[in-house]
Amino acid sequence: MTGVWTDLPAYRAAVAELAPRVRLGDGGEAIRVVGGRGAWWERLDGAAAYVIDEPDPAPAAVHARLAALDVPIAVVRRRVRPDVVAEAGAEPVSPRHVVVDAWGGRTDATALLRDAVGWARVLAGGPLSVSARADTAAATTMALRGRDGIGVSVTRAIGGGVGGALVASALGSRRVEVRVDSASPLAEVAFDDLEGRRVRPVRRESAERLALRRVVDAQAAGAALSDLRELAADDGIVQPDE
Amino acid sequence: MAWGVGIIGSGPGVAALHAPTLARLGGDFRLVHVSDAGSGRAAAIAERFDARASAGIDALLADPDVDVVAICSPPALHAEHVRASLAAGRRAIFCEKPLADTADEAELLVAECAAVGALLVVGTNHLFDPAWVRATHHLSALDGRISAVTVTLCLSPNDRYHALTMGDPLPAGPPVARPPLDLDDPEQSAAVVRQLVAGLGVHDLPLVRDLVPATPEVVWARAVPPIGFDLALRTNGALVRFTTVMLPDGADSLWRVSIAAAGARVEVEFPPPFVHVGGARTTVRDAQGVHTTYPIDRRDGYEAEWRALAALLRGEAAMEYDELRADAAFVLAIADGAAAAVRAGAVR
Repeated sequence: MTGVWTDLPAYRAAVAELAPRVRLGDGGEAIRVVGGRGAWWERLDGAAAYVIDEPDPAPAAVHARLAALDVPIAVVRRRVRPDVVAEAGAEPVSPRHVVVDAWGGRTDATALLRDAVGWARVLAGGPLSVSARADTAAATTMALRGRDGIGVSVTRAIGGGVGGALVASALGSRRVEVRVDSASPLAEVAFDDLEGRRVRPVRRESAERLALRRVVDAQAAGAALSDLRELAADDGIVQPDE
Repeated sequence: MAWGVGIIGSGPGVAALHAPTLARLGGDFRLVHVSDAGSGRAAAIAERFDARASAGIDALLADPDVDVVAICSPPALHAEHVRASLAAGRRAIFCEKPLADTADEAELLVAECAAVGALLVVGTNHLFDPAWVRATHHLSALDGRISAVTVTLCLSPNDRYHALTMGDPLPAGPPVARPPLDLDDPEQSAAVVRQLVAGLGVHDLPLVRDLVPATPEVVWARAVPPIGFDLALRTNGALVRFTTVMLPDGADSLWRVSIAAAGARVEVEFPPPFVHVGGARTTVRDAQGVHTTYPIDRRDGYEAEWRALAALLRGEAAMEYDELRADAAFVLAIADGAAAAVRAGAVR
């Protein structure tokens, strides 16, 4: 039975929901839950695996250092949940272009843009590079390029209060559209083609339970998680000079 | 009174759109004459509506029953046909978009119409959609500036929609020979993007100007295969992203305009072209997370643009020549800027 080192109420609830596979506990064999505010990377210490909850964007040098960590690390990005990502890949799509529009509050603006880029990466099917970027006081738009030269456009506007909304679309003969909104814990994934629209089942597992379960499963299988590498790629697009 | 309409043109935009749309207008208009360039398709359309048909434009412009000239010819002929209509003494013109191919030409045409008091409606149907009017009212009631506008089009061929507004298909026109397109060639790519912005972007760029009226700066522009463009603008302190992809098959056409403001995000989803199942769907997501979806108006932009012309003819609305001029200048400045950006090839 794996110990989970956390004092965050949502994760303590997730531990209860995963019993008997995990229980609360700390120490070198535990999974440590790290809040993502500020220099979260300095807290990745003294545990066998980590869950990083909603990390603030980190500099490239930090990501380069973290790449050497050889333990399972799950990154909780509620706007880019891995189970919703899996739903978005449930049917093959050959996108001609990918567009992502995000709108949200100023305090979370950089992470929102980073998560919009995350969806762009997912729908484009691989890593992205920046072709152009424009910023105003209340918006950013980026021209990106993905695998096989596919074009990607990401726009983030500042507005509203806490939270926000994101719409990501892969445009092609078959389209996939993902809608994430802080007003609802349930993301929507829909495919459109000649047969009409098919909406994927909503994913109802809590983000905290999902993260712990993925780490426990990775530990059991001796497998790695790609979350941190994907976070590094998305952070690198949003703040390449830091 | 029903105003007699003479339509110059015999393509799908006439047979599947304007000719049947006139029947939705409560008797304000009746189709009396259709002309083509010699294809014979005008006769097939006219026969369906008990109208006359002719080849060329002279007989139509001389027809005493023609009160309104509807110019639905190929875009390159719009300016010539507006001028011919004015020269023939016609003072009510409906011109399909785009009005002209250059800003100078558009400026001249509008000035020539204004000089003789001719009424002119350009068929920018989305601008007339009741949902757009509602969306802009909602935005003006909000506190805060527009920070971003995004326009996303993913279009399937229109012929699937033509079938929904015609009893029988018209005989196909002669096949159009198009040389293979090489989007890696900057000149070809720039020409395609300019044509698409001027001819397709013209549906929605007047909406963008409605929200952020200022001289736009093109931030980037690039072609999207198989046919399409992706561009970004900076205008009036806001960012605009406009992406369009035209595909040979696939899902129902997507036609969406999203507006981000400080207090809300508004999404306007227009119906596919040609169909008449109501106007656009407007959804507002406010700062508290409340989603509001307005009812879809039974009238769409195609119907509303003709009703706007009827209101002008009745003297119930004023002609806004400056708006027409500014819309055309806005669209064509973006088309030219986008072509220059693609030619420069800075962003792929």
